[in-house]
Amino acid sequence: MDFFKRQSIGFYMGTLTFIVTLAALIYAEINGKTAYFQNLGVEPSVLACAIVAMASEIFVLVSGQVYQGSRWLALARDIALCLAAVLLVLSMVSFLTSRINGFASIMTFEQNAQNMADLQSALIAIVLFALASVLAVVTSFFRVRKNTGR
Amino acid sequence: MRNDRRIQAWRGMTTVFASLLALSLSVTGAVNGFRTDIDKFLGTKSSRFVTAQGKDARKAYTYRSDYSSTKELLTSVADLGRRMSAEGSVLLKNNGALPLTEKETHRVSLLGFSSYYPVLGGDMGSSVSMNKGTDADTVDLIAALRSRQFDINSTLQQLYQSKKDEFSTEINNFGHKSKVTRITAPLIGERFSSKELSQSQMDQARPDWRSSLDKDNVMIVTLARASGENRNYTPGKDGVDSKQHLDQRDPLGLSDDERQLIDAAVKAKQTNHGKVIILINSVNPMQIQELANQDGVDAIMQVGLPGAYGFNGVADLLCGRENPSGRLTDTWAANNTSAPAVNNYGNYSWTNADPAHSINSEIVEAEGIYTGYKYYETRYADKVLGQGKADAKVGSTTGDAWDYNREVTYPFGYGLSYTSFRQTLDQVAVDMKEGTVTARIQVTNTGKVAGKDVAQFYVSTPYTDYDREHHVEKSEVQLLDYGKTDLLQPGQSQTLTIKADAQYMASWDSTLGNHGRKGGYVLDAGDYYFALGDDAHQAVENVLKAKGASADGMMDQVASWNLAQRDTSRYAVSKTGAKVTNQLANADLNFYKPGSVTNLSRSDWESTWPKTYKGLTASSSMLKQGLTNQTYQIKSQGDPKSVKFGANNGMTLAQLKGVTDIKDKRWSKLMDQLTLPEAMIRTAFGGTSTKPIRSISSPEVVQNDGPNGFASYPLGQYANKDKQSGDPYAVDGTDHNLSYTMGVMAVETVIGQTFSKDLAGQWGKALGNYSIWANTALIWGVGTNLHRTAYNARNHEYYSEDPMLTAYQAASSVRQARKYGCILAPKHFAFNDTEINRTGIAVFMTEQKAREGELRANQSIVEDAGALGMMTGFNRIGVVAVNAHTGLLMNILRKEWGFKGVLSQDFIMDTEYQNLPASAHNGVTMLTSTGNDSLDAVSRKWPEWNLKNVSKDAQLMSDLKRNMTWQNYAYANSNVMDGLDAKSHLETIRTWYDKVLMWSTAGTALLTLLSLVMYMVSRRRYYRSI
Repeated sequence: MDFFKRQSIGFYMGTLTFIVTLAALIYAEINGKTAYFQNLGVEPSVLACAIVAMASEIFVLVSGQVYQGSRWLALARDIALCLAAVLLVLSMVSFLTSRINGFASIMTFEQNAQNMADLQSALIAIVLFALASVLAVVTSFFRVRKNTGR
Repeated sequence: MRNDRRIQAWRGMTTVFASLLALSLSVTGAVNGFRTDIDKFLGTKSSRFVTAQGKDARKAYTYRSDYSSTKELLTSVADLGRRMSAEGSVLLKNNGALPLTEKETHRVSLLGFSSYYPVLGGDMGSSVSMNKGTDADTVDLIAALRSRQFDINSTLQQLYQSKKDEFSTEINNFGHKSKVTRITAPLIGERFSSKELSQSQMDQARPDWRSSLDKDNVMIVTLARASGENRNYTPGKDGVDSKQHLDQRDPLGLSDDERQLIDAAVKAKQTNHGKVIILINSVNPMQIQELANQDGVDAIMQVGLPGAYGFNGVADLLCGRENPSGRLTDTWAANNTSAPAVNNYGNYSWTNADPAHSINSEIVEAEGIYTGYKYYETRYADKVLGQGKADAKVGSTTGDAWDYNREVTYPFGYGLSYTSFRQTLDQVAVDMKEGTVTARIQVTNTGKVAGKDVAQFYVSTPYTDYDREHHVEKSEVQLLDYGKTDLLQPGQSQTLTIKADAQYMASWDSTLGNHGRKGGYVLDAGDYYFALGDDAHQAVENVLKAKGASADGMMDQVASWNLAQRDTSRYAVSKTGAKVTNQLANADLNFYKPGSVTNLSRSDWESTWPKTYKGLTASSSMLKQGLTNQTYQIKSQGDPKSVKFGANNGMTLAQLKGVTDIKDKRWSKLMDQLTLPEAMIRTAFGGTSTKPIRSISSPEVVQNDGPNGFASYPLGQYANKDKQSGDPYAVDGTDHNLSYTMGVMAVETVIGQTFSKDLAGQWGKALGNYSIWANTALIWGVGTNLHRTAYNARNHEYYSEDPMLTAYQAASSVRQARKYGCILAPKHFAFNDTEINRTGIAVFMTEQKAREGELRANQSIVEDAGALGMMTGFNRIGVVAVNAHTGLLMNILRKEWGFKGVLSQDFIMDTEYQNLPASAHNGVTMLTSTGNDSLDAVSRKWPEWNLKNVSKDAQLMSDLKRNMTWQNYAYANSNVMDGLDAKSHLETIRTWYDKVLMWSTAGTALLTLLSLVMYMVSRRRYYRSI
């Protein structure tokens, strides 16, 4: 319990960001394996950005536990916070761009229950990436742990 | 604020602005990939060709419109729309009730919700533009009747308007969702639901509606079935919403609510002594035998889907200002499921379906050539002649011996008039050297009012023992050509001369030895009968009479010609000089699984009656030879240096304006300037528009979709608004017609029903004129797939079950449009016979069916009308995607027929099924994907499509260059080049959204930097303070 009492909003926000990012990635992967989108897959840039973003979020959460850490560690944490948000934005736009033609085709020429379900998983992934981006931005305004100083 | 809080605040601000900067930069990149669509949506332009202006600027404009203002243009289109329905609506039954007298037009009761909320066009595809505030606004039935001073029963109108919400459905039209108030067609897998009000609903809404019929006793009942792309009617009870309990046995049959409405009108007639007239607002043949037989129904008129102005023509027909002259383009059967094609019309999944390769389902078209009237009339003839077990029970609706009269309500080509005509076949001359059959037909109006008549010229070819042995099938009659008279006054005669192309009498024999290969066209030895007929059935009767059978024929409507020896050489070489041999042997399932399919044969209707081919498993050879989409592998081959790219010859495409000889050396000189990356990008990313090619100064060409007109963009979207440009058709920016969208014409089936090449030509002319004013030259605008069954809800975009009618109507439009520089392109080449699983469906058939069916529907459009554009289908032919089928695209379309134009895929988005290398190899000039104008963007979608790979493959390099030559040849011979001269150069325009993105990037970059500096300062202070 002491552990949680010591955590600040940044910890909970960061954890939530990580979970949402993970969910976005899972949905993106699921979508990349659906019948409609399987030949498109998930672009490596989307995967790379999301994975590095998650690594950054873990780094922030872990390094944030270090009381009176070095100034360089704090700097690295700040950079990681910023980096995670930027990479999540890039993931979202890349994923969305790769799906737009498919959306247009499904909504017009190829509308059926299966394709609509495939489209839905893509939409969920996009929404989750967008949510993770916003959470990452908000997280960057808060410290991870109470009274850690810098 | 404590210093560490400041750090957090500035860290947050830096993150905010850095994220926005990332968003701005990535959106800028994405925008480049979708620029054409964004420009379309926002009405902006991202590039333009700049031509030196001056006194000679006008010379850069080649093509001339027939009109001097948008008002003239639009009113001419509206008038054509009226005439199209006046000549394209078909009077099916009339006991003298029509036309209405002047007095009767003031006593009209409109029954059925579709009278008030009719279907004008498709739910999706050929949807009608609802123009308002222009010089040619959209008209529905009520408006049309009112404009002809009809008085309409207001009680009924109020009743139906009060129930408006019950007739509404949400539809999706190319991504635009909207609520429509009318009947709609079922989406794939869904069922038809009747929306007609029950008698009790009507009584509840307006108890006085029945008594209102006492005065307004001209009772017009409208029955409707809608159409739409990506829609389908499932045959039989499975296609009907069973929860409605309306005794509806087929989606194209009547429901009890519809029957009871008609019965109510018939009953009312007993006391009000009026008339009951049925309007059929559908192009899908409805099962209306019960109405044809019902004495109380006085008249039936099929109006199809009449577009934005067609109801004006229908109103003119009702009141007698016009006289019906339309003819059915399909057989209207008593029971549509009795057609042999229906046995293989549905969703038949492969047992080893694999979405990874777009392997979904198959369809085996085992009915062979016997589609529509070719089945019904041939079986009838065989029954009369006592051959082929034609009277067997198979295919019989009643379960008894097959009986034509119980199967067919109205035959192909059928249609009544308010007058009567007599036709005589005065002369037939066959000239096999010239390859023509010339018929002189005298048509006399023997009735009391003026009217037009259609001369249908059929041929009956010999069905020989050789044919029986070699599975060559013969329809008892086939439409060879047709003509339409001028308006003939009572007693007036006209002699029509029809010069038919004799090649369409020939039959395909896949077993024939030919140039060391197999397959070819054959003219069998024996008697050929040329017959007129008011419809296909009458033509058969005439032929049977001439053959000496007991039939209700007329000898003065038939002529015979004897071919002494079987002729296998006359059509062994095409008009281009190409050898004509089997190209589609692998379209037959028997190719992979010998003996697995029995195709319908008139030699024995009973034992060859098609079974349903379902539960099939694709064999390893089928997977390897096409289903896995690996038909072309990019590899190191040939000498890449032999294919010249990137030359500096100082030429531009404008220098080849109007150069029709593609062998002219200037073409190769120009195309040498093209770079390989340009060719690779343009082939891969051709969606929405083909982008400019800098090396040859080829302009962007925006594509339009719409068999009913330029429906993709309003007139003002690309119209030239620069009055100083020298463009004779530059418009005033305040012109109120600029919001007009031209998705207005009656659907293709109605155009077909006119049986008028002249009207089809006028449609091409209208498209051509509009194209000049709208500055959009390319339109995927004529649907040339055939009506294989009544149930394809996309039949409205296609003309007919008959290939010759399809070919000649479409060719007339294409030929006229070309005169105005408009590339009017047929689609979907070929065999896109169903909307079910169309992306990937494997369509199997014999080569005879293919050649004499859908290919024949396209051949004249290329050979005779010189089409410069064509769109391929979503489907496979056999196991190979049509986009990758060498026999179909290269050997038939390009070599045999001589097609030299732009060839686009349909809107396939699956990168594997697009078969990019195979498509390019087979002459597809562009896919419909879009993306950033870079090879990187292309290679991200198709990793093998990179410069390193392609530049090693001399074959593919040569294919790409050839394709770009064809594509630019088409543009150079179109109004795309209007306004360009040899010195025109491409200029990039920075749109307002480019500026917004640029400023947002700059702004967020600056704010990111500022926040970062403040963060650093705060951090420094903090660490100094501790």
